[in-house]
Amino acid sequence: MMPTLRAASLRHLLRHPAQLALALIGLTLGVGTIVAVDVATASSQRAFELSLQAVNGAATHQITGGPRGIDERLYPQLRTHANAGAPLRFAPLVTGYVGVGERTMQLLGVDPFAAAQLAGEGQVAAAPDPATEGVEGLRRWFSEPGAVVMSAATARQLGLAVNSRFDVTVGGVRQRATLIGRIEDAGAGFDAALLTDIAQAQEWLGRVGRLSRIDVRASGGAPEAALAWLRAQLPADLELHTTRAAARESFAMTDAFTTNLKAMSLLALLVGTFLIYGR
Amino acid sequence: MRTMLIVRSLSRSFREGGRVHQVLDGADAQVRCGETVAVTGRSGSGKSTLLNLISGIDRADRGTVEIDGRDVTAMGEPARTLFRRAHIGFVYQFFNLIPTLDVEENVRLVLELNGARGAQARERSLAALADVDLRERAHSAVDQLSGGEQQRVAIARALVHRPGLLLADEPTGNLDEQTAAEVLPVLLSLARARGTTVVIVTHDLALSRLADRVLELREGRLHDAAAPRARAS
Repeated sequence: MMPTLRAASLRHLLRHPAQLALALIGLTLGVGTIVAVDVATASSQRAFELSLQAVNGAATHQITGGPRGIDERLYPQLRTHANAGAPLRFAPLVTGYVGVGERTMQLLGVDPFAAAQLAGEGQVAAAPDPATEGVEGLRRWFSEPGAVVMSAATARQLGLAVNSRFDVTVGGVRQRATLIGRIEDAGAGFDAALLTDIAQAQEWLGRVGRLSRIDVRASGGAPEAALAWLRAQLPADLELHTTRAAARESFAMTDAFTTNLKAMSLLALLVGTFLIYGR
Repeated sequence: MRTMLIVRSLSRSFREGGRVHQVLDGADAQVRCGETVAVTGRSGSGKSTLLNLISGIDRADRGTVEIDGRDVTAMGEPARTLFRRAHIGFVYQFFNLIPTLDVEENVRLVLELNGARGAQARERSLAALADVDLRERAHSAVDQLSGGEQQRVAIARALVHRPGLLLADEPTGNLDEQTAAEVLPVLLSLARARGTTVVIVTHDLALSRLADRVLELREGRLHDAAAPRARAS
């Protein structure tokens, strides 16, 4: 830049300190807004990914039905008829949303034995692992009405200790729940998850005899043949799809939200620019 | 004598709502090297548009402008900008000095835009200021100068890079009669001393009398007006 032009620009800025300060504040706010929105979006997307991972666990595929879900009798049929050597594992799941205080949480009704089998070695199951939980814990899980488990971090935020009793609102109806265990180091994906026995979830959500989905893990050699067999077993109103496809659909849904946030932050920057240079 | 400026069949129209306003409609003119020509005409007759077309700031609908043998209308925008910067000087009614630069810096800016730097540029700008009797005000702020002094700075700035063509748009329009009478001879004598061709757009009869020739812009065309009665000394 030429010395005289540089001098002209600098002197103009120094002669109008208030305008310079406002311009800097405006730019800072505008850039700050964009960065904040980007960080918030990235964080929420990461949290969403973790939640999906927590809910999906080690499943590679999912069997889903329409709004009415899946007849629970399908699950034992699949387990019974799957070849002993077939590389397929199944875990039933009942999900829904419940309120705990001011918070909305995802209720996950699981079969801990099936979930542990599906998770396999080295994976985190979305339920207490019967191999590592105490017998007393398992007894309470299956026999105590309203027994639930949540992440230790969430329990702390809600001020709940083990054996605390609290209300859960399901479809406007209050239910009594007991925190029988906390999952330490559960990760951010479990922050909004409330785990309970599958039968308890069916009762609270009014879906007795129905499943939300059946998680499937295809592993080992030639899973394609096993998956083809599985497809053939499913009634016409049920679908077998990969968890990746389900995640893609979920992310596509959140893309609109992300775009809105970005548009809002850019609009904030544009308005800031007009405010500064419109003077 | 060589011809500095040739305007051929120059046309320019503007749209105003649904109406087309034909400002220039086939204007022709030739100005010789070192000649001073005043362009007169009623308000809105297209005098400033003519200057903008000659300098290449605006583009004509039809016609050509040649300056010192080069067709300005055939040049692209960057080439026109560089040509204008090097070969044309401007004097405006409202001076258009940069308030954040002092007097000498305002003049030097033109030299820096044309590639001159440092002491050489400074010396040339001070010499140009001496020509308009403002050497001692070189480091004053421009807003501390009177209107006449500001216009003299503008004249120094317009001539410092020794352009072949000087375009002046109502150079006395913002000055009182007495100041205009002081400033005009400075402008014209410096231009004549350097052999600079001058095209002045003006309403000022006194100014047009000082020109070598007067062209009247009427109905979009340039017409030779009555010969001026007086000449600048």
